[in-house]
Amino acid sequence: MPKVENWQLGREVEYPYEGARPDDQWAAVFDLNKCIACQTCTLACKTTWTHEEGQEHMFWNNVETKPYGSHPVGWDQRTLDDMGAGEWGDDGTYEGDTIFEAEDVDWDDPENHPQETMQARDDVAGFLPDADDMRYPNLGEDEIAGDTMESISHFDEETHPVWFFYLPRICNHCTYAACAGSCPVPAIYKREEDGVVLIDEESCQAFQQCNEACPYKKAIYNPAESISQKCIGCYTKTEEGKAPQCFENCLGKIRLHGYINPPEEADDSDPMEEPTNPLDFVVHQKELAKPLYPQFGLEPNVYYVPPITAPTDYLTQMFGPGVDDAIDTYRAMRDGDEPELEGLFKLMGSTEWSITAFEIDGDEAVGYYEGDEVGRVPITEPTAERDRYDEDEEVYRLDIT
Amino acid sequence: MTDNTILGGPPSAAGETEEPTPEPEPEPESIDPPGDLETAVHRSRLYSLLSLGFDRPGDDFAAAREDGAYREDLRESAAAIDEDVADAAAAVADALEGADHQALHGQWASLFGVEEGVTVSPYELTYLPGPLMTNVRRLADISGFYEAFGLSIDEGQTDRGDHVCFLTEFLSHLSHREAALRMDGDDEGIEVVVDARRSFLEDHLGRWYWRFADEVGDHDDGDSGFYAALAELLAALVELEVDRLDLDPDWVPDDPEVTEWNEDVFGDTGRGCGGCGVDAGGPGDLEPGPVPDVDPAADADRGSDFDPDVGGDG
Repeated sequence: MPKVENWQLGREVEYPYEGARPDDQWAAVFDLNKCIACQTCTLACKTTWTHEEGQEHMFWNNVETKPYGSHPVGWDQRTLDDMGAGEWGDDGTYEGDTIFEAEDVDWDDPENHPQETMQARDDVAGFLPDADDMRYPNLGEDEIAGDTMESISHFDEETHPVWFFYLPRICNHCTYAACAGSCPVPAIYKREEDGVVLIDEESCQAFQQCNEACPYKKAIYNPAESISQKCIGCYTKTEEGKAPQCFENCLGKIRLHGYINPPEEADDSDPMEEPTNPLDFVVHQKELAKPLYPQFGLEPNVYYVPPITAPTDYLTQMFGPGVDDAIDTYRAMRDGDEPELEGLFKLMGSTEWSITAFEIDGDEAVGYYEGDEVGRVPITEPTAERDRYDEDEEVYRLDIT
Repeated sequence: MTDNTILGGPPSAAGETEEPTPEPEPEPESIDPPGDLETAVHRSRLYSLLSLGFDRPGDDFAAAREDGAYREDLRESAAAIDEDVADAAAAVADALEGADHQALHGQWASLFGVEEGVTVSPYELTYLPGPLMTNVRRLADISGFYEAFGLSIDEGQTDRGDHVCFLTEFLSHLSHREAALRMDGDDEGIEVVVDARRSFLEDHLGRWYWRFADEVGDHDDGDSGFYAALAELLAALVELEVDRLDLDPDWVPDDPEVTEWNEDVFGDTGRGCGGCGVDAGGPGDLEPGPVPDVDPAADADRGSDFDPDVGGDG
């Protein structure tokens, strides 16, 4: 039975292929508390990769407002509806169905193999976005959820009664990618060296199974070329040690690029003592960053720091269990009680390099790429204060910090 | 993927070991690049004079005009190339005869200058279909041509690389190189520069020169009609080039409307936000002209004696 181990769900899950992990797994942390939806990432990607005819509707990186925004329209809600409700056990095990389990297909039967049926999308929960669904990339932008808003409204609660947050999305380069798992050719593969999931354009025969099977809808059909295309993780940059375009150009410095290990192989070292894998530290040691809709069952590899003011029931649906603890950890970091995290989060966006290790060196955080120092930032920015009255110039200063 | 895993490399590459290697496509037969030393020299000079003529009139152009060299060189080089081109060049020379500097400068500004909002765009990207977002790669392609031949735009020049002056100057440079290589008998070199000229014309100037000539013809209301004549000369020369080099350029549409999105995907409602490319809308208030390769009746209505379908007699 081709079951694969999915640590995010705490159990084995159904998948048409055998479980195998790449040598390294491309991964990312996005801090949603810092995203301002400036869309610089979107444009950095679009102008680099998807500016040709047939790619007009294609956003390998998009930023949508949650809960009401989505591109393509309703991608998450419609997939969740199709999967049916699922519960998480107290021990963090997901007890519902993943997209490969929801249709009760016996993946052990060779006749059900995607390369046999050539229509795996029918055997996987989800929907095929049509042209209309791709038409509104900024649907729901800045729309609020919760209570109505008055001009004199003040929020004293930690969870805001009126809320929205921005969700930047790219391909998750899933460990058990549905695009690859559904392709009849198969033209989609996961690179052994870094886990980046790619569509081989030479092999793609436009079966469009991936367009439906990928629940994140990041394998997108190009009608001009009659092939599907997707985010390539800017592997041309990451192979050289550089962070992808959408990371390097992020104004809010919300993104960290690196490589993650499964929990049993995670780096458990202490960044106060020695260079430590930042992905393993944030995701496994601190459990601060969470996968996007882990219940889809694909082990996605972009990890999100949940927005601390949004309702946690919604966040739990989106990021799985542990959101409350993650929010507590983030608040502790902001209060100065998590200096390692504070240092690492200051390093984010401070360098164009991927960060494979970091450590705390006194009052500075240091980032490394394969042993070379690529970033060094103060954990607390030094401040200076000037006199309000400048005796030399005989003027009062309005701005003294 | 015999071991039933998604891990691996590109299947198309893996297939090479399992399937017989396809026969390599036969090399296209080497044909001597068309042209000779003399026409290369004259073509180079002609493109160069066109570039000078389409630039904002300055001291160089004034000097070349005043001693009659511009007209003389134009006539001489055009005559060495082709009869139709010679006729077009003669019209330019005639137009120049009565033109004074002030009038030319005023007319240039009225047509191409920012003074009146660039009535006729001298930039290639303006004429291409689709929003600017999808056309920046065309600009990159042009820059790639320049770079491949060790050229770059002068630091002091603020114009974009798709300006007709740069395109013609580049074609002049290629022809100049061709002449030098022909003198050296460097067949391989000749092939390289002629191929580059071929691709550059087919992918760039050859796609839109006729639109440009139409626009200039429609808007040049100066007494001399110099710019309309110069644009006709450019058209005659490029047309001859298209014919002699056996090119098949993908004509730009003659409708200035920007297709903001891929209408196959989005339909009418997908357009109109203008957020990504409204500037690529092309010259405003143009009269729609006929498609270049349609029926002769439409051509007769055009009000221009320029017909991109009729090549030079080569």
